[in-house]
Amino acid sequence: MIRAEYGIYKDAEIGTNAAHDAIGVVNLYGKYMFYSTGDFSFSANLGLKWFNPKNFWILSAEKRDELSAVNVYMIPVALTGSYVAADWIGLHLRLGYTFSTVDGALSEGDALAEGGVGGHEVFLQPALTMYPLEGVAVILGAQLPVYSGVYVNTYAETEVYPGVVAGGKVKEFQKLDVKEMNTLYLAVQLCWGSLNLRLTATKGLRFFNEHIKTVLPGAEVFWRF
Amino acid sequence: MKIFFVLLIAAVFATCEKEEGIGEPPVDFNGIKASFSSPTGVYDQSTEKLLMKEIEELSHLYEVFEKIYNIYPDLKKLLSGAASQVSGALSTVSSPLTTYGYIKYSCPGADMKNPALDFKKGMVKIESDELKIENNTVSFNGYLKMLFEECLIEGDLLKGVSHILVESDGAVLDFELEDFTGETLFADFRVSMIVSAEKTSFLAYVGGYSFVVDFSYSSDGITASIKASNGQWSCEITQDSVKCDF
Repeated sequence: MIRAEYGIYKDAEIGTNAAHDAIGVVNLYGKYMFYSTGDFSFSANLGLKWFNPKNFWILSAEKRDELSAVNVYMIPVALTGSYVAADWIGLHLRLGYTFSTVDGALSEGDALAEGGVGGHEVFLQPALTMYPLEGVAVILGAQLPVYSGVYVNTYAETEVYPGVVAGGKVKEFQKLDVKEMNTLYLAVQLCWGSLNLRLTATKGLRFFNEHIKTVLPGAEVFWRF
Repeated sequence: MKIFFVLLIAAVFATCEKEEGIGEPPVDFNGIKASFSSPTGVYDQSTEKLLMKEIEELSHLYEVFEKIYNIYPDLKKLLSGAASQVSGALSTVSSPLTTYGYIKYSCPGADMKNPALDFKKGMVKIESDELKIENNTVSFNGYLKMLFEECLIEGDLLKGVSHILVESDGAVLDFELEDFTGETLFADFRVSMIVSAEKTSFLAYVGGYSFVVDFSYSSDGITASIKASNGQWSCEITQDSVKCDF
């Protein structure tokens, strides 16, 4: 990941993941610290990700055209409370909600399917940040899902035989069992001026109710202006 | 990707609550069935003329249905309580699925032997919350709705909605015709019907009293019988006239 963050004025910043932008995944997020006193601070976060395969230039032109009616949206919202316990350690707790959806139309042969699939998720994200050396941070955190649900809203139609067309519509919602599907991560962040490098090891990365149990490495470069 | 494959994906969420569909029937089907079993009208000379006119008009409506059935035997099977086979489009469905669904039948083309493939002669659409797909078969059980959307059948334009209860031996229909223009003219007309494999029965009203009129096809053409509270009679229907053995 390659992120860029910019302080638009005191206590407020906006950012984007440039690596995602470069391949056509438009994303923007903002953070506003609305309360700060002594060792405590509280901030609000809002983001938006939008992706339409027609802008995904690494796909073939034919594939981009075929999928051009499909849109993927993700809107994360969060409230974060931080406590600086000492000059070398900080505690953070984030309460977040993410709305994600995929909608659009797909056709194959004489069949047409339109609709959407998406999800709602509420999660808690505690994190412990330690600063053992100048310009070095060690972060130990978790993402604990509190509630997760998915919906399917499908409309599809096909010609059964000449003069006869069959179709259907399904609108369903299901709460997912996400108990014990926590994600843990350990990160080391190195800072050189505005440039930051974060190396992460993540255990239990989750997508809806799928859980990857192996530890996954990750790297992130970001600039904070 | 065929429609039922899409629906199968959705069936993964089979335990979920359904949020939309055609809802509850707005008619009392049991009341309609009871009316068919005990007609209140009395046949006598004073009711004969009006009754003959009713039979003539209903026979025309019956003929229109038969013209549609000639092209879509599936539709009659469906209304007769039999599951409707709708070809290999269902081959991707391996487990039973119940959902909201519909089938649109294009109204007949100019030759009256084949459907108008472009749907420009209107359509008959059947909708149900209980569309069942199992073993490559579609069946509609319970309550369904049949909509006639500007369906042009030879000289007749048919527009309206029918609420239908499909049972194992046939279907009970409450048919609200907004418009039926052509050789016979109906507007804002409501008729109750029972369809089975052997016959189609209508409830005819004369002076506020009910008569049951059964129609069926035989080698001689359309035959009808009238059931009143004081007896039952057979009728012969030709293109020009209705003759009953009163």
